[in-house]
Amino acid sequence: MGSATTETVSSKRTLIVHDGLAFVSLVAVSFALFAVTWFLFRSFESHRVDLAVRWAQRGRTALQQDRPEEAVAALRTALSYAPDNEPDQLLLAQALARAGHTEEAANYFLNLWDVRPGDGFINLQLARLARQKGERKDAVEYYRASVFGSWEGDGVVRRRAVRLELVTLLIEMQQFAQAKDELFVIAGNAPADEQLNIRIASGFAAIGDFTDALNFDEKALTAEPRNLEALERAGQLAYRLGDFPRSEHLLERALAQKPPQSEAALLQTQLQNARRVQELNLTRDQPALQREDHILLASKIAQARLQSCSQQPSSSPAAPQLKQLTDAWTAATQGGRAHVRDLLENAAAQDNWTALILQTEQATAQACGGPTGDDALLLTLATSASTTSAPGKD
Amino acid sequence: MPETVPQPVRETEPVQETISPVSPPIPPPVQAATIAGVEPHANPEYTAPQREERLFLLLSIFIGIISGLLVVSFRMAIEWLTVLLQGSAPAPHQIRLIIVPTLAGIGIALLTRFVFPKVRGSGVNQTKAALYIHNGYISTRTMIGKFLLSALAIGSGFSLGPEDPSLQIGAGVASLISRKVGLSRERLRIFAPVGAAAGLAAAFNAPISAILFVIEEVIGQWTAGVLGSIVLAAVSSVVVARWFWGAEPMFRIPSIALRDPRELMAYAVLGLVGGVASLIFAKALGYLRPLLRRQPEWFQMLQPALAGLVVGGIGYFGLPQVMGAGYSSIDAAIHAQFAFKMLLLLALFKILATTLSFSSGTPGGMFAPTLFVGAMLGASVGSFEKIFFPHLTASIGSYALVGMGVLFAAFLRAPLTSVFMILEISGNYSIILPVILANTIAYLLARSLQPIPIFELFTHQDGLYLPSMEEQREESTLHFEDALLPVNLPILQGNQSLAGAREAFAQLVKPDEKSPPATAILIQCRDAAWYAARPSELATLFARLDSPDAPETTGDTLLEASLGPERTPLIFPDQPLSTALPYFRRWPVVPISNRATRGALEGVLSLEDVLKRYQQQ
Repeated sequence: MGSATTETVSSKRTLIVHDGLAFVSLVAVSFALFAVTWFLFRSFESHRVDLAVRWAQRGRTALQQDRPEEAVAALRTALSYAPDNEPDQLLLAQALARAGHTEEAANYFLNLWDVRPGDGFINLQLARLARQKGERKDAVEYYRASVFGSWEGDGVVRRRAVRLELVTLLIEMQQFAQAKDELFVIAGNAPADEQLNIRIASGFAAIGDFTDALNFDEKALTAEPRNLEALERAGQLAYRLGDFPRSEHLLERALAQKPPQSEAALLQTQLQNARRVQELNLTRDQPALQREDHILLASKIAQARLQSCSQQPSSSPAAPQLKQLTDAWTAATQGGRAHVRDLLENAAAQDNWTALILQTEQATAQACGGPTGDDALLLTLATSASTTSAPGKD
Repeated sequence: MPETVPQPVRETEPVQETISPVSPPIPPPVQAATIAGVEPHANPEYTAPQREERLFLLLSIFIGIISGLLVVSFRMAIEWLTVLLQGSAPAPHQIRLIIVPTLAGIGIALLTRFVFPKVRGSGVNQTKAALYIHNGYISTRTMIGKFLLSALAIGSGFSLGPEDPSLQIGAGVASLISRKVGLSRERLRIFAPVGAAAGLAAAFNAPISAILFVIEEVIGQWTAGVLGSIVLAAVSSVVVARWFWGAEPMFRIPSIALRDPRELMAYAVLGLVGGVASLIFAKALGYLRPLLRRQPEWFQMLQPALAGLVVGGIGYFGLPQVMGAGYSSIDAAIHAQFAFKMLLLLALFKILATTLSFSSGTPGGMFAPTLFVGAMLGASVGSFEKIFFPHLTASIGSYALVGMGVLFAAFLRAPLTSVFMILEISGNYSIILPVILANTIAYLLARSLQPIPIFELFTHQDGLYLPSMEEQREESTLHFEDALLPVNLPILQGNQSLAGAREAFAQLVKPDEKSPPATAILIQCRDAAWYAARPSELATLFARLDSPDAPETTGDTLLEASLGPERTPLIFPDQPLSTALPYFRRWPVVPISNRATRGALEGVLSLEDVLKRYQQQ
């Protein structure tokens, strides 16, 4: 019995020593293996980082040199070595977008967006891609998220730029009221920057708000009186608003800046029109005698247009009106030139003549198509008269 | 009870003796009324964990740590070799894409032939063979060879994956450690799957999937003791792997949400596509692998080089993505970076490249190629949906992800693992419905079209007969309720006096011409326990009443007190019938109790009844 117990104790002791040694050996092996793995891993990681940096640099260079496909390949390689590098991911997404891989770029940006949904830049890129894909509603949402998102650096300037981009989209979508709101927000916080004012003016002009557009162009011209773009558009806007002397003045200034040949020809025509329109000016804001001469000249033009138009076969609904107008002209000119002059001495009668001239131009335009030359200018007068008398629209 | 130190198995000669792993251990004699299968605490043998049990758990942690470190090194080796051999940015028309795998193929063939003869194949079947045939033995040389040659093969561009070799490396670590520590043969055998789980968990960075795969595909059954070790090993290895690689999932997963239930239709289509693709993949491997292995020795030596040449050619002429494991391409597919036609081309050529690489005997795994093909098919179904059904909003990434699970379920026949793998690698639970639907369809379709799973096919081709886990899962197990008979035995009450019981016994066992004598008598004791006695046992007991040698036994003594503390075990009708056999060594019959009513019997079972039931099956 005693020897059996001794044997058991001895056996247990052997086992304890054996297991203890095994444990110590395993710990030692684990530590040694860990140290070797750690050393190799550090070296491996550093090599990967080097490769990532090298390929990312190649990608950046390619992107700067407008070789997006090459940039995509290089950045992809860079990201295969450093998949979590966010700047490279952004660059790759940009390169994909520039290379025309819209879907892929959008997916890339969406992945980044998952991580940083409030990032202004990512939202802006997504907005642009959505716009490219024709998903305009999504684009508007991303633009708005970008406006209210976070930006590194000068957030105010970037947000303003995003708003301006949003305005162009809203104009494309014919959402003029929203575009106008955005333009007013931009204008409200805009610094005295002629380029910005020009862009705002361009936006207002695109949505048909010529008055505000002209105001912002003139603001720009105050800061930079020789800005050709502002002068050109301001001249045209003044013309459209019926302010022909102002238009003439602005267009003359624009031509003085020596614009390119093609633009100069157009500006010259517009300037001539502005001058001629003033010669045909039928409004009361001129001496009565001058107005009388203008009315007589315009009458001749309008009657000739009516006569020519009446001889053309027309199925337009305006055709019966031409007959009425012919009768009206016959009645108005029955007493000969002297009778006409007598009538014109009366301001109210002058207004009636003016109305008849303008009605004739409008009716002939409807019946026989758009006029040219002086008729076109008279029609412009008719249109600007109705525009100035009617409330402005978006 | 003293224990002897088991002799470690010699490393160079694996034990060839086959021991059935499914035979249940014979339970110790039951000392009191217990629930069958649960050891009573009264037995001193079970009052504390034995040495091997304690060591088993501790070693599992070490196996996990060391496997994790080796798998990290293995992946590093692959990536190093990839950069070194294929260049830092492999692209079409780089001549090295053809030269490198061809030369590597020659090197691999020579090393496989002369230095590491047992490294062919993926590693899953080798681990199963170690478990079922070699008592858990995987030689250190095989482990080293697997590490080196798989890294060389994958790094040089063969279309193979690192997961299955990682699994075998883990199993090899476990085998080595358990041999060195000197565990018993039973433990040696169980350690192989423990190491396999550790290796796979580190390779996938997904412990649950690894545990499930080993249980689903290697062990084939849930065992509480082994499960604990597998979990410990897998968790340890993943902790190590994450310490190096970080905790991020394997792939960058885009946001996934199932917004429209109609999308499930598209996922169902993906399941069908995956089922058919897995059939093509399996048929190609099933045809080419044995064909190449039947060729003369000199031609077999050339096969890895030829496979490398073809795979390199595919890369050279435009599809370098099919070379290697292809993780970056899977990531690209998840992020919709390939067009529809490109996705289909990649899936097709990956199947071709993998079939050639694997059939040529080059060591490497099937998991990564399977995931690759699945991701490409999934993304192509997603792209198709985007083109033709733009109102459905699921991202291409979600289809690619589900596609990976689909091929895993259909080709590797591990449906449960496939679901959890997708959940783990995506870290997104909202994909669960599409995954379950598509995986189930693909699995069922693949099973009906190709009844033999791919790993089983390989074992048959290799002339081995390892148990099929799929068949095991579907085997119908007999339960006590399938064999039990109504209680038609005499019953005595345990609270009767011995004298009264003797009278009742005499009445009960009186010879009757109509019915045979009872083979056993049931005694109902207190606490709803039962005692099944042979007539001879009671006859002996009652005889002691008249014996002068037993003065303590009187007629007033209660019957149950005279029987001692031992009672028949508590057995319920739903328990497996296979566990009944050991009880008949002690008891003439076993009463089957009702789970709802304490003490009530559903029936009784004798050894003859059990054998008769098994013979009917």
